[in-house]
Amino acid sequence: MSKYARLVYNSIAETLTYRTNLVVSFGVIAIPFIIAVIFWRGVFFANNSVANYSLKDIITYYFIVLFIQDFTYPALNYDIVMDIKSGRLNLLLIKPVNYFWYAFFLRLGSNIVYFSVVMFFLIIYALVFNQFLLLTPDKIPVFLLSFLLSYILGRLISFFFSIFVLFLENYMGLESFVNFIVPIFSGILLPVNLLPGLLYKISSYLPLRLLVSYPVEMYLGKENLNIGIIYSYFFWIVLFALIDIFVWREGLKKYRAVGG
Amino acid sequence: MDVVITVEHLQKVYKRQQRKSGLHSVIKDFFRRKYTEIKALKDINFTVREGEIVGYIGPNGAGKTTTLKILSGILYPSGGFVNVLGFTPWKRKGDFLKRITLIMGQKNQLWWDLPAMDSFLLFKEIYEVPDDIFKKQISTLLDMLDAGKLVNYPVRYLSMGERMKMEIVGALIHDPDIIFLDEPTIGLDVLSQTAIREFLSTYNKEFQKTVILTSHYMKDIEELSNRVIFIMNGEIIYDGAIDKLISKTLSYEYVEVTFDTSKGFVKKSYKVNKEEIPNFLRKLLSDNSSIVEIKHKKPDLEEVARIIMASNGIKKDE
Amino acid sequence: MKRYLKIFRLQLVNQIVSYSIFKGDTILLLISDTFGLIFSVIFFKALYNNIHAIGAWNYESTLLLVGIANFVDSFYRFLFEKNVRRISALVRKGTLDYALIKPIDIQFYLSTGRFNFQTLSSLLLSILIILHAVKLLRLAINVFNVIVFIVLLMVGISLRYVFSLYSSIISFYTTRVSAFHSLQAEIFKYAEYPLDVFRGLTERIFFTLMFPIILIANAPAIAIIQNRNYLVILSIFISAVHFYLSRALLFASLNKYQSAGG
Repeated sequence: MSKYARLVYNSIAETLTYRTNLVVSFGVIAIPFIIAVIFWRGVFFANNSVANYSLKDIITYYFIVLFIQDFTYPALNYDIVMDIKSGRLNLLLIKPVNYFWYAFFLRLGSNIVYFSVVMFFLIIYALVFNQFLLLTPDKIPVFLLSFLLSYILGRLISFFFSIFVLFLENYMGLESFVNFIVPIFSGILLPVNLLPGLLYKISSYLPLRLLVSYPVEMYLGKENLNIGIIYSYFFWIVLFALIDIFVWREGLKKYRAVGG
Repeated sequence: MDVVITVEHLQKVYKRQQRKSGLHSVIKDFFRRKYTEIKALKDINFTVREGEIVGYIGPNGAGKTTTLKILSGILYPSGGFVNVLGFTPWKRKGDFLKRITLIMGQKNQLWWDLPAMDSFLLFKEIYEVPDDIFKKQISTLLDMLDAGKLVNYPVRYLSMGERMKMEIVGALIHDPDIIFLDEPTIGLDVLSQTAIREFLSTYNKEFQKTVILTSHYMKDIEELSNRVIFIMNGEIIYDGAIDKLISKTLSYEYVEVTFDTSKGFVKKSYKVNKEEIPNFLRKLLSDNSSIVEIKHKKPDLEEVARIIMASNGIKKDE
Repeated sequence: MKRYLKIFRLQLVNQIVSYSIFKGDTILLLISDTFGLIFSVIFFKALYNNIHAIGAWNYESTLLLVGIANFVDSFYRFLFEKNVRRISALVRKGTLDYALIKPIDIQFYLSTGRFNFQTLSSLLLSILIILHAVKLLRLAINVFNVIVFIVLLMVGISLRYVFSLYSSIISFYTTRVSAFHSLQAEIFKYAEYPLDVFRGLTERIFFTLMFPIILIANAPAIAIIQNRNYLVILSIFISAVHFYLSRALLFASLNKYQSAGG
């Protein structure tokens, strides 16, 4: 396990080296939230409720999104994409590491930094904006369980997108596609329940809302971790695990055939 | 001829950040950064006359590039007096900038995806070069560099040597009086190096332009200039003719002798103290009957530079 | 001035030529550039499905804000972004040296010349949204308010440029500036929010003077919807102050670069 610990360490050290960047990224995280508070307060000044969300619900919603999205957002993992595109993957294939876990732990390092930063700020916001935040301690266990499942699913989908690059000349199209559909259908842009009819319908067929929307709604007490949702988590997790194995095997065949 | 560059008591001090490895120091650095002062130039004095080519040499980090950047107005000095063509360079007056140029072998300024000509036309506007002069200058330069057909290919398709030729044309479009060259032949193959060297030599002779040149290839310097300024650790340790530098530093020369032996011609090289040479030759001739050829060779700049840099200054050797 | 226009034109032509070399990604880039705008429309569409208005702003007038804010943003990105963001790379790689020996206004040289053609799609889309919103709102258009409107758009573009320049200026002091660019780009994303969400006086002052996001879309929208022009003078004044401040900072930083050595 120590090789993976080393990976996490290096990735933390690298993230910390760029002092100013890190300090400013605090702001990058903070500002959308502060402005969201301002915005929704303004919206609710003129309206009592938006669908069945209260001001507290909405602010808490974006607060939790801030907390979980770095973990569950299924973005293309640049470490993987660059390994593939630069041919450095060859060097990793001859090393005794499992590439999925390699990528997983590499990413975990920056996740941890982000988490520490975000936690620090979330505590400050929670103190500053406490009047806008909904406290539901009894929901925390369900939320954490759901979040864990979302995290696993998110990593699997992210790995899928990233290794799909093995088949592509250019990954920019895929990246655009991911960055277009994920915010809309996962609940990052706004609660999925507020989406206009057709978009809402599409979202219910996709695994994306499991990544962000469900854990948050569970914290808010608007969803329960019922058996249906647990089934759909496991369905998508198993499906993407299988897809990942398949895509990785076929992708490597192609990668090796053309010589990387 | 007139003095065009005057440098007196020039000094430059840099601050550089320290950084160690390890998470501990990463975190420590995060809160407090340590800086050390580096004296890049300690007390530089020299003058350059119009039309001269001066080789500016020294090891990495000696302060060569810093000096060129101060002379071209890119950097402020920390102290001292500099006058170039009657201007104080770092005031960056338009009339000054139009009369100088800087060519850096390691940095390019042409637009990567465009044919070089497009960049030239842009520089023409920036330097306000009239049409007729632009045309004349371009055709002169392209002729001299034998690079007429290169201007129409996007720069990224050109080889390094070809690209350097285009960089040179771009830098000379406004017909500057002073040319600062920082490692113009770095990374180029022998053929391209020669081509660029020959161009600079002809250009200087034909148009009487003043050139200050830094290079790690002593051949560049030897072939282009008679005068070198040798800088080490921010100080000038020699300023004068190359021959003098060699004879001043090294007390030996080489005698190359070819013997006719049973195995064919065999060449041998002897390192001989200068005063000893007559005696050495006399002895050599009296001892051997099979000598085919004797050559007398002086050490070249490369050798002197190596010895000076290794011994950290000019000393009388052996 | 004529010389600067000529240089500008020359570079535009150069860029069109070099851009046409890469056809492969063009369509893709053009499409993905409109995502932000589409997100905004979906967001407000969804929101106004569930509410009637935010203060004086209904869906149609908010759509106008979205159009204006995105027009300003795309226009800024078309003309300036590549250049301004490149300054930090120039500082890091030392190629700023070549800019410093050019006998030309250095702010002009550093700020223009590289165009971002992928923004043309959002530029076009945002114009369509503006026109659509104007139609939905049944606004009375006359020469005077169109001129005021255009002047205010230019003020917005200039503010957007200046704040990006502020971020780049930081590169003279620290090597990594991408976070600063993300930060100010993030803040300017909220230019499309209706004025009425900023309820507190402090908020209004902060977002008018310090980070003038209110002036970007709300000022032109108010000018054309309500025919009220009180924001025009203020907008011009504030953008002029920021412009001169950024110019002074740029020159001070170039001096710093020159004295520190790159």
